[in-house]
Amino acid sequence: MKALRLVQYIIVAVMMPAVFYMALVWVPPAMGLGDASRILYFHVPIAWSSVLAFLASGYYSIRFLMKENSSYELYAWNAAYTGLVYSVLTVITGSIWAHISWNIWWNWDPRETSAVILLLIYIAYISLYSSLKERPGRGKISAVYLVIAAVVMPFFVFIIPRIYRSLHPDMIFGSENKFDLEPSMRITLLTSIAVFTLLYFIIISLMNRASILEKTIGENIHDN
Amino acid sequence: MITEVIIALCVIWAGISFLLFRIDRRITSLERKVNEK
Repeated sequence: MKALRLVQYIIVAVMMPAVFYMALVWVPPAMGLGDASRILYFHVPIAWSSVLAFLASGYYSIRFLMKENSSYELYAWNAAYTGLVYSVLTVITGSIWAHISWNIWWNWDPRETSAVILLLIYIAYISLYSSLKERPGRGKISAVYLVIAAVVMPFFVFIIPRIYRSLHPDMIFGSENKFDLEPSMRITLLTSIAVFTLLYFIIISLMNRASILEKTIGENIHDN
Repeated sequence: MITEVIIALCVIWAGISFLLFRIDRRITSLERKVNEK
């Protein structure tokens, strides 16, 4: 386990500077967007990590509801919390890009609106979880909320922005705004997604380990 | 335009640093509890 962690840190330490070099120097700027297009190589991986975090929070909540192991409740909270921070970063970096390409910071595009609704859903979870402190049923209520949120999340991220007309470039599925990537851009984007995903796993595993220690030490203090 | 890219990068690393800071605070609190025991 320790060896695996060491390998993760080494990969991130080596590949993160490589991603910076590829995104800022090696890859040519996108046609019509200029150097601003380089935000893509950081905005998309962060958005992807937030989606992963929200899916993880739903998964841990289902595990908690099935096994009633309080560790899963803590893991779900950690995943939702990191997902919320990553979502805020996605919205801010998206807004910077919007300012460059559309000359406006915010224009309530379907993609922007769905991102804000998603943020509000997870802010509501943090409020719910914090307000139920020390109350019985806290874990179950918040786990059910997170499962519903994880089911709703793909609609806001993948479906709603494609139903309504959006200015947001679409790189995954075919659309009028399809943003064709050259091979070098595709390699850079995929490398960046892989490295930021690994960084996300490092952060979430650190948080989960801290939670387990808090739980163990808390129980030991109560026992003595 | 590259300035905005750098700003976006700073925002991302501020967010990631915030998460690491939160973990650091939790570990510091755990250390205090262990030392008090």
